[in-house]
Amino acid sequence: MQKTMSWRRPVLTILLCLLFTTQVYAMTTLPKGIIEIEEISAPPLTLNDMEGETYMLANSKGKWVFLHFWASWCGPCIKEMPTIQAITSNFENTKLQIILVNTAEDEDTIFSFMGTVAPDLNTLMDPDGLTTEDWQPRGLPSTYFVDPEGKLRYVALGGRPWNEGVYLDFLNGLLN
Amino acid sequence: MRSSLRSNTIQHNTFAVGGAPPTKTSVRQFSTIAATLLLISIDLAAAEKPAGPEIYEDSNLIMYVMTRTPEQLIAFYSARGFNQASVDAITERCFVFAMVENKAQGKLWLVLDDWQFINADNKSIDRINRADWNQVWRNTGLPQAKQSTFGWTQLPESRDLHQHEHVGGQLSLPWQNTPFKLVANFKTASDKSGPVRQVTFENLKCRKQ
Repeated sequence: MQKTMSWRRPVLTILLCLLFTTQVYAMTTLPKGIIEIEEISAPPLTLNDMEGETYMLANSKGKWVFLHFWASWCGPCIKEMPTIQAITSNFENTKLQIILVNTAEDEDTIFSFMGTVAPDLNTLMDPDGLTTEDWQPRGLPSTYFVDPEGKLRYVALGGRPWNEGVYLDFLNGLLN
Repeated sequence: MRSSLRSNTIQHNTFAVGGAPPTKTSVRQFSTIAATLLLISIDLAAAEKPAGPEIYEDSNLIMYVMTRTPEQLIAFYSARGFNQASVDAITERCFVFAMVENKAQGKLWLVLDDWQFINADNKSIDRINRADWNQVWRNTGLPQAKQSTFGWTQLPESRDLHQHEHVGGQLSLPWQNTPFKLVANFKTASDKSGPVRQVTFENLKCRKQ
């Protein structure tokens, strides 16, 4: 019995070290297409969603925000949106909030698109496109990561397959 | 044509329309990305079959250029609710769609002011910039939301491209009745101090159909 315990402890220690190293690696090696950006305060953002509820980014302090700008006419947005829908359940009731912002389209277009491509998701609507322009994304789609202090930390270049392991690891890593 | 080093600082590559691209590797892959990213691709099915894009590729970058037909432009912007006066203003101009991907490790700078359009008389053609379009929209009464959509379909004035990042969009010129060429210069490195890469597309044409 004594002998069994004697090898279990170092093995457990090694496993814990490996787990810790993996977590650190996941956070220090960013997935393809995700870049760290200058840590500055996120621009303000207050918009209504499809149900008429008002969302204010300032109220998300204390959480990471996955802030995704999109439009229905943008090819990569169509491809990416289902991958966002696929991960939303993973982050319900966590400190990662997934927020979508449609850029400069009317309600009919937005409802039709979401009903077809991602029926489980809600989106904020930026009807005149001016909020999106304040954020100056590098194109559409574009995803920013705002940290719990309200600072911009990462941006995803173009569309990303968020439901793939390396991206899920990155998102989970934000919560650790 | 093969890429060549013109000087110590400028890498100069010319791809004449109709000629073979310098390399063929990854062209198919890039075409797939490009096709996905084509802003108006959704509406192209309704329009006349477009002529193929011109594609340049070397070890540092991929560039893709094609001119738009009025039918393609009408299909896209009318479907987005642009008023007739605005659509007419668009189709009176010559639209060039371009996409650039940076393959190299360092940054590649897309700066539209570093691009030159040159007509058959070897004279420079001035681009129609965003301020010019804003004036057009004031005259045509295009709502702000549509102006924003139009803006997102245009190439950014300036963008530092990370490795594997691509950017695509349109730029516009006054209508040209004769072929013209595009000489695209790209500064490199974060501080723009690296070698300038130059890609030329010859024999581009504004398309009536």
